[in-house]
Amino acid sequence: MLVFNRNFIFMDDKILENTTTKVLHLEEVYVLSTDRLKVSDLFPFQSPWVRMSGREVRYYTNEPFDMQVYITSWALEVEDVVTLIWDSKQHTVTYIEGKQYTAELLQFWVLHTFFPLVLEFEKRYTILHVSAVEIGGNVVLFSAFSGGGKSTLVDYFIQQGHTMYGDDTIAIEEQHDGYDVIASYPFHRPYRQPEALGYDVPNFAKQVKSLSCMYVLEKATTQAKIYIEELTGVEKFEALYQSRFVTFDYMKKERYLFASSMAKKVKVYKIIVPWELSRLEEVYQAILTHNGV
Amino acid sequence: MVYNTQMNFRQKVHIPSHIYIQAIDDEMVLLDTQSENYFGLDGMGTVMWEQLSVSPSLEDLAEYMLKTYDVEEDVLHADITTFIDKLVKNKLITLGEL
Repeated sequence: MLVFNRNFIFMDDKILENTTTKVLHLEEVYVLSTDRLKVSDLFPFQSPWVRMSGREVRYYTNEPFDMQVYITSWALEVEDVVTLIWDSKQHTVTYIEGKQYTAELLQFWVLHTFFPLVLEFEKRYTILHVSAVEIGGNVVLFSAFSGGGKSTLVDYFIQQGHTMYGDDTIAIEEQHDGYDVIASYPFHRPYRQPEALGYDVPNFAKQVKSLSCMYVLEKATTQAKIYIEELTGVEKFEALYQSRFVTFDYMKKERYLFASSMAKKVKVYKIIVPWELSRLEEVYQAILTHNGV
Repeated sequence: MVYNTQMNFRQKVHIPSHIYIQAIDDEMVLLDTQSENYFGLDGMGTVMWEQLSVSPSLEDLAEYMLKTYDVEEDVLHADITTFIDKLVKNKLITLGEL
């Protein structure tokens, strides 16, 4: 399964393999089960429980969490579900099953939460909490608050044949003149359900492509006029600052610098989206036209 | 120099270390990393902020603005007072004696 430009191999849960073709030259990440490890024996430090995706979770590390620049060995315990341990040298996620473990929950926590955190902690990529599709050879991002219509819009783009880069998250990598977008995982969830990735998306991106721009979706009444306007200054900064997937307190400065730096290289637009499914085609056409397609 | 406002212009501005500042487009964006509130300064606010980063003195700021812009002294002092009050109220700066 292609995940953040790596081949993910679920060694002990073959039902989790989806139809995405393996890309030969990419790094492989193995996900395998163990019942021989005790996470508290491996890591002396643990965080308090925090709420995430409707569950209590906590982190385990070798050094105090906020003292580390690169976090390369750590674990995440999802209460009663699974404990995930990252080994950066072996490129391996080892997991210990909890009482409520299922293969689907493993997949959700690894792809949706754990591996994006691995990439952030190792400073490989920056993860954004946005949806993304390809338009005219480049990638555009859609940002909105939860329930703000990102997935509905992405669903429409997928139905029109566009390649999906991410339903809920994507990774970006800064380049000299902009950003590259790395697709996240090949699932799309056009409905609201906790701890679910949704259905397989066959037309999932296999290539890294340049970021074109970001649209902030603004919900409007069913009759509202659709229009697009560029955001500048603090509004643009806010849109980018709020789009970060990782929001740990000790990363505030890095988050701020990231958003200000990105604001200088990327165009951000607000689009008024009427809350009416029958008008999605108009929204779709407005975005295509805006991208010169 | 005597000003017709309540603010004591014989003060200097101090920017706390937890305030980060970046120019984005034509605006200055200020982040308070303690509260995680952020603020945008408009064009004139940006000019005044930039001048304060050259000299933290409010007297120097008033003098620079009077030389640079065609504005009545009273109006300018009232504008600077409002601007500085907002920054202080939002804990983006502190004021100290020169």
